[in-house]
Amino acid sequence: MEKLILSLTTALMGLTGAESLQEEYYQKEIIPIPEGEVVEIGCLDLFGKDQLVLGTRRGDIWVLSDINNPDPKAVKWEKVFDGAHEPLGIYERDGWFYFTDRDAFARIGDTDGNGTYETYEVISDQWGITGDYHEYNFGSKPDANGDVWVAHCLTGSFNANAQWRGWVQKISADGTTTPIASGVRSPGGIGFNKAGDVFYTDNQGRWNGTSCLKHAKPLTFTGCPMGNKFYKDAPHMGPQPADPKNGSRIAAEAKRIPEFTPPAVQLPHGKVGQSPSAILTPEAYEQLGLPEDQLLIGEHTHSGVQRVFLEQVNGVYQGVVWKFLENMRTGILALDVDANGTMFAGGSTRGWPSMGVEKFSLERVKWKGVAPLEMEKVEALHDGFKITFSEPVDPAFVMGMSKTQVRAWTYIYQQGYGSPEVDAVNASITSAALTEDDTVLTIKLDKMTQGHVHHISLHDVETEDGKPLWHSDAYYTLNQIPAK
Amino acid sequence: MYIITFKSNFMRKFLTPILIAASIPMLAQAEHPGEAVFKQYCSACHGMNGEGAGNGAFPPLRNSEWVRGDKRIIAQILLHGVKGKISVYNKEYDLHMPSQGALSDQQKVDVLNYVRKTWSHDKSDDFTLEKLEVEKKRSAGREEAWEAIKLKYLFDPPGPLQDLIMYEYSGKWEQMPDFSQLEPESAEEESYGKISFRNIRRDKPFGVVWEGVLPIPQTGVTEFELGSSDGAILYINGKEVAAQNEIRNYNISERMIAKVPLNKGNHQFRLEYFNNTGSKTVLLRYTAPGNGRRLLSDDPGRVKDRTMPTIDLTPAEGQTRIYNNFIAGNSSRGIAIGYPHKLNVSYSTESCSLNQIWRGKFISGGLHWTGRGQGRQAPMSNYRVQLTKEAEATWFSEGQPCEVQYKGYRKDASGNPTLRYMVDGLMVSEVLTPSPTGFTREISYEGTVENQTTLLLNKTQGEPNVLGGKLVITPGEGVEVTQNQQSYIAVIKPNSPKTLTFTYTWKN
Repeated sequence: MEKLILSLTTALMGLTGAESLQEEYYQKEIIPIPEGEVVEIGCLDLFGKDQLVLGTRRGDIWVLSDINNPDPKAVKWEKVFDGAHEPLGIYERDGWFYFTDRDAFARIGDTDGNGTYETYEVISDQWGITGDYHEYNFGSKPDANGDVWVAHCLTGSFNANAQWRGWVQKISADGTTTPIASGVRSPGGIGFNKAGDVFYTDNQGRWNGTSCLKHAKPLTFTGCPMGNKFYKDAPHMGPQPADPKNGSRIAAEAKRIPEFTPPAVQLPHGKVGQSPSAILTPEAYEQLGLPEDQLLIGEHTHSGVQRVFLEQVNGVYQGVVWKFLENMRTGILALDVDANGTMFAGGSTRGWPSMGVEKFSLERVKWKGVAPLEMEKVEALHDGFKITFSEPVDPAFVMGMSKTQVRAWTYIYQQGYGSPEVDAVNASITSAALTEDDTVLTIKLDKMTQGHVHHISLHDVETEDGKPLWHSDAYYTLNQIPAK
Repeated sequence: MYIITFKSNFMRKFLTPILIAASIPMLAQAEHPGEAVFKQYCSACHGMNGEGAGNGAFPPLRNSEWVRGDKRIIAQILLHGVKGKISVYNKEYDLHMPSQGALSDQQKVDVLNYVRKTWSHDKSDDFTLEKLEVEKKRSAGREEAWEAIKLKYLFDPPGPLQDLIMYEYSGKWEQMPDFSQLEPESAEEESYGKISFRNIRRDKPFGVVWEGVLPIPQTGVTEFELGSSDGAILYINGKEVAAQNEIRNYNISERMIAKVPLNKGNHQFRLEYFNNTGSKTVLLRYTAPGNGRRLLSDDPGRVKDRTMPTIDLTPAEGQTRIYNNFIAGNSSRGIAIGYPHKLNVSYSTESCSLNQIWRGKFISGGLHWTGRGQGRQAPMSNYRVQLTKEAEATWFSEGQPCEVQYKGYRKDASGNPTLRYMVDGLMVSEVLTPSPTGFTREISYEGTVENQTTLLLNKTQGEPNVLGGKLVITPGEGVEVTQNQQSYIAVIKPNSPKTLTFTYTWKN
């Protein structure tokens, strides 16, 4: 059934070797939704001992207990609240559940200790809404200072018709709300990397040639100018940046507009996904079978999870994305990983189609304990890339690399909806060397193009024992070329 | 079907007449000819109330998207059955429903209409014997039961348009506006590859622009056909190809036909559309060399069933429910509360105002919880009074609206919320207690009011203390009320009681 939908909707991917390998490394189980209930998951947080709180697109908040019971049917479900609108960010703290909702950042608690969450408190409602369905607000968990970061989607995903639409704001525990970065179009999630910097996913559309992972660098402009009219209400942000030139390129405008923080990682449309959502840097990466310092992104349309490695070059975030998990049963909107490395991921497909055909779903993913062969990182050099593998690889493939190319392209930076791949460059690999006991591959290119996505596609890479490279396509966004 | 084993001739002689006798009153009481058919043939699996029998083993008809969809699909299911994986109201089944050979054609038509009327509130024309004949011909060669996915695409196949983006605009025009001068209200990627209004929910005049890519399989001349209501213009590769640019009714015989030479490959597609009044229709077809004539739009000959399901959120007896969403008549930030005794209200949490009261059923979640959920939902009862609209203020001090800030609420065991908000720096709590005759409204101040504050209770159009002509407001002891330019207001002074009580009584 899923394959038929794939072919009919002209998706680029068919069933690949990567999907069938997934079952060797990861085990997925469905946590069944209680009979007759509609649980369209928009956000979730793991807390306490084997507990999970989730918010739904119908405004319900559920608490799940015993979530690691080997029998998924034994997981306990309790609906604790039904007065939210459409929460898209939730976490537990000191017995309260905090959530980012359509109309407010709020919390519910059991102040009289009788086991029900009878108290609802608004912490901040400092943004405008017009009643448009698309004015979503995605909220992070608290950062190291206890502040929550919220990204406000544009009205209709197109214009800023209410205050602070198209902005990221920071909300402190006492409710003080500060607009902190502009440039948002249509986010899907917001979270932190290992260093605690804030990132959000932004969907392909107006001023986003493709979906991307953006660094919400405070006091800067992150790409979509529709909300820039509100600079006059935020003097601490400084003067309104110059408008980007319609039809230009991000690299050119980043040079021209000093306040512009370019997207850290472009997520090539159709190749890794089409609609990125939740962001998570798992602490228990080892138990999840991942290398250190990886950021995960939920993917709605392709019903999966992507993996990102970030670095900073000349003070600018950039990095690489690979596919990670596929064949999730619905469009993924929310994910979290517990201390044992168990991932809980869920979402809904209402309103926007996804390859996973379930209308809503919650799944539990565990690493089976066998390490896949993967690229752990891709780092930029002034004249190429350094790729680190998770274990030593058979050098046999290296000889054939001199005949291969790295295809690079970018997107039109324009006010129209999205962009095809343009300005294609086929860089030749002039040398390839395997070092560090065959774990590090250094490739040199005859051309490095600033601002371009560089598609590194490795073929026939395997360990000496014949274990194949699980995900062979890496897409690196080269915002800055390192100095020599 | 119930299978009864006869143990002896004696039983057969007596039981059969009893069974027939028992079933006759059932048939006589049936109001719709399909009801008896349903009870006898369908209820064993689908449940007597369409809830799905076997405690979830069999799919329901209630809330089923298959029941609410294209009627012809139900006919095909009755003719051939359906097997394999099927998703119904978010649950997946893997069963085999056999073709209903036991039913006559008339019974098939009757039960189809009964099921539609009962579980989809379908107001469209009944299915008929003639329409059943069409379906029999359509699937004449079929021997196997249908697979769910093939059924879904049988009548709603995806179209060929790629990278389809749909832009919606608000506005009232008599001719196609210059969209390049307008700002769209939304832009969405659409995945079904054709022109369709399925994701558009508008009750005011609007315009739409669709842009995408149309692949042409062979070089030659492609014929396009365009018919619309109201106006539409088709552009291929940036050039206008066909137009019906006026306020009009849709009539297939008036469609525009254009022949366009096109090479094999991808071509830019753009369709502009506006709706001034009445129904919204686009017929777009194309015949490319090597292809037959194909639809590039939904088929307007079909009455597309897009009735929003009703999800009745009226709370259980004695319980109170809060619905936080966009309510007609309320501000964007606001809630609706459904109380016992059929009392329902909406509050603006922007102006901290009780602005709308209705009696009867509460509200439906169907609009917001279907598809993308656009729009504002009206109350489920027409017995309504509206005090103020949207975020209109009700709290005033010295002639100016007070500074108000909504803080939240605390619910009692039955879910009844005590709302909390700040008015000019003072915390106020408000709670409604319903009764069979109306409700009491208690507003309590924490702290003392320094400046005289007024609360709007009614904007009179008749008796000053009768809100909307339906609710008599009686101020409680010590509560001062006054009239000021046709406004009936409560006056709160430093020496007013800490809790002000108002009793609202339904007039009839």
